[in-house]
Order: sequence, then C-alpha cells, then structure tokens
Amino acid sequence: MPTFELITTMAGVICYAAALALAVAAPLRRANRVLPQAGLILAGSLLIALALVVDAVRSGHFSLADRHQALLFYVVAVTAVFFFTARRHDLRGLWLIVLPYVTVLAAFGTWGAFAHRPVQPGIESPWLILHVLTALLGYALFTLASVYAAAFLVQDRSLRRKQFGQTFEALPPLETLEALMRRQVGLAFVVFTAAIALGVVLAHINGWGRAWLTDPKILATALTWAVYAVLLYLRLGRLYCGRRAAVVTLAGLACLLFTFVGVPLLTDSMHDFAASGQGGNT
Amino acid sequence: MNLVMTGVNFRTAPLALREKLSFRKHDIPGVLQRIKWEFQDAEFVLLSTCNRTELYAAGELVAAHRPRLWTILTGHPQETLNPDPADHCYVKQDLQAVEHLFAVAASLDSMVIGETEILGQVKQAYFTAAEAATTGPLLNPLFQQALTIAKRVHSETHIGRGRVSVGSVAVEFAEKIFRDLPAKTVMIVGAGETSELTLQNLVARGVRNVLVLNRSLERGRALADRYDGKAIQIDLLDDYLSRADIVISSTDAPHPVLRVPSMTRALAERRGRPVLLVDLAVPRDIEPAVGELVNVYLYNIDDLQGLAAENLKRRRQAVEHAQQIVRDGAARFDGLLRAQGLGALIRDLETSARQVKDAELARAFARQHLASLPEECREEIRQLLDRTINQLLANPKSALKQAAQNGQADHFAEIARKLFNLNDK
Repeated sequence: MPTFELITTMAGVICYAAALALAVAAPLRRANRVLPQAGLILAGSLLIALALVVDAVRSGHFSLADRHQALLFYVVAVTAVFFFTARRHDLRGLWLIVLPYVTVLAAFGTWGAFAHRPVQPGIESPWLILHVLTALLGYALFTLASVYAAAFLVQDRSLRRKQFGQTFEALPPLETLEALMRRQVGLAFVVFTAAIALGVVLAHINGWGRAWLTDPKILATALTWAVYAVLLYLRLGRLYCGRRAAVVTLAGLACLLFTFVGVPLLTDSMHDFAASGQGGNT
Repeated sequence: MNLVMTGVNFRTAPLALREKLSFRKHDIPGVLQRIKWEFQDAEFVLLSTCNRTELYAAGELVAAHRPRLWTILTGHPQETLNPDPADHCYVKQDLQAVEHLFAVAASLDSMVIGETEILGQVKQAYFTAAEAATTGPLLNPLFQQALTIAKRVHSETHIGRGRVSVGSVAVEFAEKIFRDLPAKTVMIVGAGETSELTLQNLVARGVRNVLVLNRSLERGRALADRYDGKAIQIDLLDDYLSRADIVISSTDAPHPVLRVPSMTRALAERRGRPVLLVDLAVPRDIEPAVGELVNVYLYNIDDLQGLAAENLKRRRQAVEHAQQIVRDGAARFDGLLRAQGLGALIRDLETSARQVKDAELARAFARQHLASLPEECREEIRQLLDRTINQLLANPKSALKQAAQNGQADHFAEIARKLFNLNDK
C-alpha cells in the first residue's frame, strides 16, 4: 500500500482547502498583490507533485496513464500556471474560482489514486510520456483560459448592468482578462496540437490501424480541437473578441471536459490502457 | 491632561473668516515659533486646510490664555478681526479634544466623509510642528495615535470605499475596463466644466493623450492647452472617434451628436478594442442604442450620479462603526496617559518612603550605642525596614492600579497625594 503517496497527496489537498478557506474569510484587499495564502497553495502543489514523482519512481512505471494520477497532475498544472500568471497580474479575485475547482478535483483524484493498476504491456514509451504530459498541460491551459473567460463575462455583465459589488472590485480590468484569455488559448492550442500529433505517432507505432479513427475519445478530441481552432481563427481575424470570444472559450471548455472526464465514464473507448480495463483515460 | 484645541471649520465659520485664519504651509513654522515664544513650556500643532484651521495646544498656561492664541495666530488683536473668531470658533478640552482630532484625521468631520486627503494634511501638520520642535510628551503620542486610528478606520470600515463624485466614478469604470490607463486616449466632446472635472480625474491617473472637440475652436484650444491636448473642430468627430478609448461628452446640442452608425464604423476600425463612453449632457449627446453595441460601455449622468450617491450613502452607514473606533481609541489614549500619571505617582510614593527610611537609619546609626553595631546587623535592620515599607505600600499600590482600571484614577491619585503628602507633578 503506497501510504506515503496517499498521505502526501491528502496533505496537499488540505493545503488547498485551507488556502480556500482563508481566501473566503479574508477580504481581498487592493493593497497586497500576493495572497497571504500563497505559501499554502505552493505547498499543496509541491506535495501532490512529490507524491506523483515518488509513485512513478517506486513503481518503475509511467503512472500518469492512470486516471486518478492524471487528474492530480492536471490539478497541479492548473494551479502552478495560474500561480505564476498571478505574480505578474493582479488576479486575486480569480483565486476564488481557481481554488474551489482545484480543491474539489484534487480530492476526487486522491480517491482511488496510487492503486497501481497494471498497464497494458508494451505500451510504455517516451512518446506516450510526452503525449500524456502535453495533453494534460494543454487541458490545464485551456481550463485557465476558460477561467479568464468566465471572469470576463462576469465583469462585462457588472459593467453593463451597472452593478458594482464585491466581484466588480475584486476582478481585474476587462483588457487584462481579454489579453490573458487570448494568450492562454494560443499557447494551449499549440500544446494540445502537439499532444494530438504525438497521439497519431503512438497509434502508428503500435499499429492500431483504422479502427482508432472512430473511437469516441478521438472524435471528442477532434471536436474540442476544432472549436478552439475556429476560436483562434476568429480571434486572429479580429472577428471575435470580448464577450463573444469568451462565450466560445467556455464552449471549448465544455467539449474539453467531455473529452477528459465524460468519454471515459460514458463510453467504452479504446483509449484505455489499463490491462484490467479500468482507468487510464487521459 | 491639559490639552486644549480651538479652531474654526467649514461648518462654524464663513469663508471670509476662514480665509483670514488659514495659513500657508511655509508660514506655519514661523507662527508656531511665535506662540512657543510666548508660552515656553507648552506644545503646539497647527492644522490649516481649506476647510479648517485648528490649533492643538498642551500645557497649563495655554488653557487660561486661550483668547491670546488667536491674536498671536493672526498677528492682529482679536477685536479688530471681522467677523470675530470668538463667535465662530469651537473649543474642546482633554478627552473631547482627543476624540475630535481622531475624528478629523479619520475624515469623519470632513465635508466629503471618508476622503483621504485630510489624513495627509494632519500628518503634514504634525511633522511641521515636530520639525519646529513645538511638540512634546503629550502631542507626540497624541498625533501618532491619531494617524494610527485614522488608518484603522479606513481599513476596517467602508468609510472611504467607492468614489463619490461624478468624475471619479467615471475613472472607476475606466480602471475596470482598461489595463493601461495612461496609454489611452481621452476625447472631450464639448468643453464644459463637468467634462473638465472628469478629465482632471483621468489626467490624475496618468492619462496623457487628450483630444478636445468643440464647436468654438478657440475655447477648445484653451482647454486642450491646459492638458497638453489637441483641439479639433467638432465636425470632425467621426474622423477621430476610432482613436478615442474614452469619450466624455457634454455639449449643449439639442440632438445626439453620436449615433449608432458612426460608432459602428469606429468600432470596426478599433478592431475589438473596448471603448468607454461617458455622456454628461442633458439632453443626452449619445444615442442610448450605442450602449447596446459590443465592446461599448456607455454611462450617462444619471448612472454616474446614482452610483456616486449610493457610495456616499454607504459611507454614511459606515460612520457609526468609525465613530466607535474613534471613541475607543480616544478612551484608550486617555487611559494610557492616566496610567503613565499613575506610574509617576507610585514612583513618588516609593521615593518618599525610601527617603524617610534613609533619614531615619542615618540618624539611628549616628547614635553612640548603635555606632559599634557590626555591618551584618545594620544590613539586617535595613532589610527589615525595606520589607516593612513594601508591605505597607503594597495595599495602596494595588488599590491605585485597581482604581485606574475602574476609571477612578484621578480621584484616587488626588487622595493618595494628600494622604502621603506628595506634591502634584
């Protein structure tokens, strides 16, 4: 039983939860840019990352192929990228969106993680590692783009309806959110495209053939990619920006969540590499 | 505590009098020196703003010679001043004066409640006096405490939250739309007074690019020159519209000067960059439908005034909480001073007892039959007396401390000084 990994991960989740409790309790002052609970957030991320590394070293396998570990990696990626973005912009209000999200997902990930389900033999390769890492990082970047999009819509609504409450105070200006959203989608698109390309390489190496093309996971991924591709096209042509771009970004998130979480739960995808037939979808 | 404050403010005195009693920053050290020269042992801080002139003085003589203060302050005999300051000034003493200063610094006594300018002015007044060496053991802690209390009021209550003027509310919107306000271009349509006030607020936030569109180019140029801007004929509005990130309009035109087609064209050229429109005119200058366009944020005079009024209401609601903080702070400061006074009293008590002991011992050991007493015995006797004194004084000391906690310090201190025949210091 990998007790160390579980305890470390749980400690990380508790750090996130404590940071969330502090963020809700303490008023978000305008004066200090860095949250007092920044230490907790960083500690939580490091603890979970440590658990993932220890697990991989101990088992000698690339354990991110397991659904739970993949979720934990995704959580750490979201938190870490946001943490470093928040150092350059005043994004304190957005922690109130990010922290509940990562806390809940990390708690879910911990449940049943590190069970060491055997992986299909012969599938592990550097290509797989790269594929999984880029895919998860792409998910994380798209998720954050959606966080900015959601905040943009909230702020836009406040400005239009002339309602100026605490959210209006706590959120950054529209232009900041728009710029972050644009940059994050662009970066995520590059990373995600790389993940898909690596996936194609993997399918080729393993000789999975044509059946692969009609797999639900692949179709869902293609749809997600297409939504973001259209969004990027509209953005680059300056046809869509502001509110409309934010709405499309959120639509992209819906596709993404379906691909990431929905497909493995609802369908019997081939994109499932646990030998026992459980876990594995990333 | 011997603290006295006398002053006039916008509520008690007409402008004509406030003008005569207001002091320029660089004159204040001289005025302070003049008073100090007359009242050597006293402490002074002079607070002079456009809304108030207040003199804080600490010392025994000052309280008795209050009318002299105005004469020294103004350099004229009080009788010759018209209107007479005596009719318009207020005087507060001790705890009341402390409370007043704390309330002033916390901006509870300001014309616009919650403004932060007064805090800087109080700080400046104190620093000026401290530099002129007219502050001392009472005014130093008093003013430091006033600044602390004011900061607490601002951080713990909503008193300073939310902008309360039309111009500053417009800036608040601008700050929530634009990332880099100084890099934005402001267009003034119609060089009026309100639009200039709004412009001032924006310029104060760093905005540098100013376009002024006016029917009379002459008047437009006058305004543009004040802000390093560019004056343009109002007919060219459509040509310049796409350059403006913020448009402030206040013409007296009977019909809208900015309509949907012009704005749509400008938006296409702006390629998705948002634009803030502020319509200060009645009848309105900007067609309401313009506000429905994507990336356009339109506010009219009612929106701005409504929000300013709402913020002001919220500030007023915070006043009660703020006053509580001020009252608590003043009471604590008062208690602190009293405790210091009590400490001095207890020290006096101990000194006096030690003096009696030393005198008696000296006399006793000088006697012949005790002169040969070995040193160990003398030490024994000394310690015996010390213990006796300590036991005798233990009860009065604890009773005094108890009294200080119950707010009866003054009363008990007076009795103690009489009982033990201590001079009041």
